[in-house]
Amino acid sequence: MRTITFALALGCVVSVAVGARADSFTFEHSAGVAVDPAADCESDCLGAEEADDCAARAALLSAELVEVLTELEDESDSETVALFQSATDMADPRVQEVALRYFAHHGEPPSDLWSRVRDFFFGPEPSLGQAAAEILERSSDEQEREQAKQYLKGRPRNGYAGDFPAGTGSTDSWALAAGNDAVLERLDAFEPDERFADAERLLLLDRFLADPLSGDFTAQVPMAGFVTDAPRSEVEQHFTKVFGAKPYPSLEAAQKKYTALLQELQEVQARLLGGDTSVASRLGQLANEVQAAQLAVSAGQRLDLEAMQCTDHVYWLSGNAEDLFSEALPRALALGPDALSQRTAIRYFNGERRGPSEGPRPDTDEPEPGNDVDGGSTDGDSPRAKADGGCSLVASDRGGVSGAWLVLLALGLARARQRRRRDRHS
Amino acid sequence: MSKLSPDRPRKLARTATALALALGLSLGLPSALAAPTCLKEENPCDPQKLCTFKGQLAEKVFLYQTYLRNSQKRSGRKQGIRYNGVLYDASVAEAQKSFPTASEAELAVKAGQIFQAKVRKFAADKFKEPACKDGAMPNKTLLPKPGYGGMYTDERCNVYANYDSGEYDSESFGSTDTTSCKEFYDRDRAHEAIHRKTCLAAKDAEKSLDAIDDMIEDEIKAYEHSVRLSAAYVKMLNIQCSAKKKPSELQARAKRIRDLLAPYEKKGG
Repeated sequence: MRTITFALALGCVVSVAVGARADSFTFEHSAGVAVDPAADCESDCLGAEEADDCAARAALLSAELVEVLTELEDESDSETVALFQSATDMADPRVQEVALRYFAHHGEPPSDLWSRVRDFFFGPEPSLGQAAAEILERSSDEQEREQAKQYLKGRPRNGYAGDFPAGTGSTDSWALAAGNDAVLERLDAFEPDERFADAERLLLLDRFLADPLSGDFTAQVPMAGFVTDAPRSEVEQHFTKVFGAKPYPSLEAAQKKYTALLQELQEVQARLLGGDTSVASRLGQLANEVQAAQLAVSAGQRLDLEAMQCTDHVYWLSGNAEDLFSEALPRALALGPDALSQRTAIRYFNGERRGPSEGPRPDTDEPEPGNDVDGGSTDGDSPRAKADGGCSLVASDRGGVSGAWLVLLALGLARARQRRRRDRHS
Repeated sequence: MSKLSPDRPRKLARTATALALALGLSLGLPSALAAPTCLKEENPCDPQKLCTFKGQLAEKVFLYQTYLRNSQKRSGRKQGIRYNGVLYDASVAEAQKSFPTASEAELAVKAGQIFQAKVRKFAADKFKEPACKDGAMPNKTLLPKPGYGGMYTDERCNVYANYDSGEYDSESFGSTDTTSCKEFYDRDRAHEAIHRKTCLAAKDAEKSLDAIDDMIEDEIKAYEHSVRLSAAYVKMLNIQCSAKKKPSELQARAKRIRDLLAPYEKKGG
């Protein structure tokens, strides 16, 4: 009985271990068998028929190549340089990375390597892109140097390079950077069919945004960058459907609008207090317009668009306007021209999913058509879609209520002033 | 001036005894929280240690490439590691056969579990220890202790060490080992740190990370790190043995490997 109970218990423990995600597993290496994977490799693996251990041999050869190349890192003769250059064309990304780091460390790469470096820089692998960025920092082209700088801002050296990472185990800086890269790739807030299909990753746009309003001062929201050559109107249409609302106008336009409205509000208030009651209705309208413009500005600021030099991007945020400044960042999207890549950039903010947007606010200006900063000519000069309402966030009914209170207050003040004049005359 | 209490001599005696014990312990016994680090710059060349770490690097590259070869995300690429989705296809087929009424999402998770089991078996069957210079062999006492099965991140994003089929706190695991290199446990802790990050992100979004495609991409990212760290370990040990290596020999070996690998990966591409 005891044996059965023990067996059952053991079975439970084993099954728990198997059901859980058992990851960095170990296994017994074949005892006493030491193999040179290069032996007979041509005949066994390069012909039409392959032995069934060729993939294993390829892995052993790749591991040895990584090791041998790192042993040659301090050499700079022409043969070594040629060897490292050819290593950038190898299939294993780890071999490619060792080669790129060699050139990042060794000054000017061969002139015919620059094109390959750019391939890695604009490619989908962050560790290769980061190594390429360290090389492009020394480019003679100012724009490339600026692009490299942007890349390294999002992916600094201590996350990828150096002899060893800072920290060990769960604080290993290389692991923490890799975890960030993995999270950026996931885009959990957007289902596959919600992402714009005809776009490719541009890693230099990636960022992590601090989100203290979430209640956790260490919280960060990943923002993944893509670029597309599709017409701007097509992309806007797609995300208008995803968010269920038109986008906010650009932060630049929203700020200009807000400033102009505040100016007008001051003037109207002054006139109303001076006894001109014809402006009372305009005051009510202005109250709502100011609030809508303020929301647009605040939403853009919440996305840190100014710091990312995206003040010419239109943007969407999901969820309720009231929650925007008291809860974690919702999922969001910014769309606009990218000056560095000369293409249309799509920035996915991987915040909380909050269900469909509330719909456009009638008082917000539509995004202005055409006239992007720096031309934005790669999207075929397609004008932005004329919006019927423009906001993906609406103020709650509180907006209308506060407008009415202002009107009543203004009318009350005007009547009080009239009474005082009558009293003086009498 | 305070009056000495009548108990003071006894207290002093107790304190002195405790101090003496502590001194004796610190001199006589190994520290409870200091598993040995095997990588000290001042260490002399140790071919057996180098061979052990080389074997671990080779193991991680093998696993890394196995996941890469089965990655659906990379299958369409013309460049890179040659796609070979045999394990992937077999896992999906087995899941469909074993769970015919499961939903698509459930099947993807089942396929992921089956795939992990297949990778373990594939590794145990196919991986061979690489040859080391001058006939050196790995020193098994440096490896994680027998019974250690690796580390894992569970569905609540907690990390554990798997030892004798039980779960243990990952942060402190191995700290009392007297011969196993701390570096191997650190490597696995770092590997899990990557999984934990994606697990927390998936949990926030109420998504699962266990579907086969997501799991493979997650492992690729984690093994990429394991390879990079293992290579850094080997590099340091090689520096200690560098007087024995000639650049011309290294260049010749690198070319030989390149000339085998390049055509192999281009086949069928």
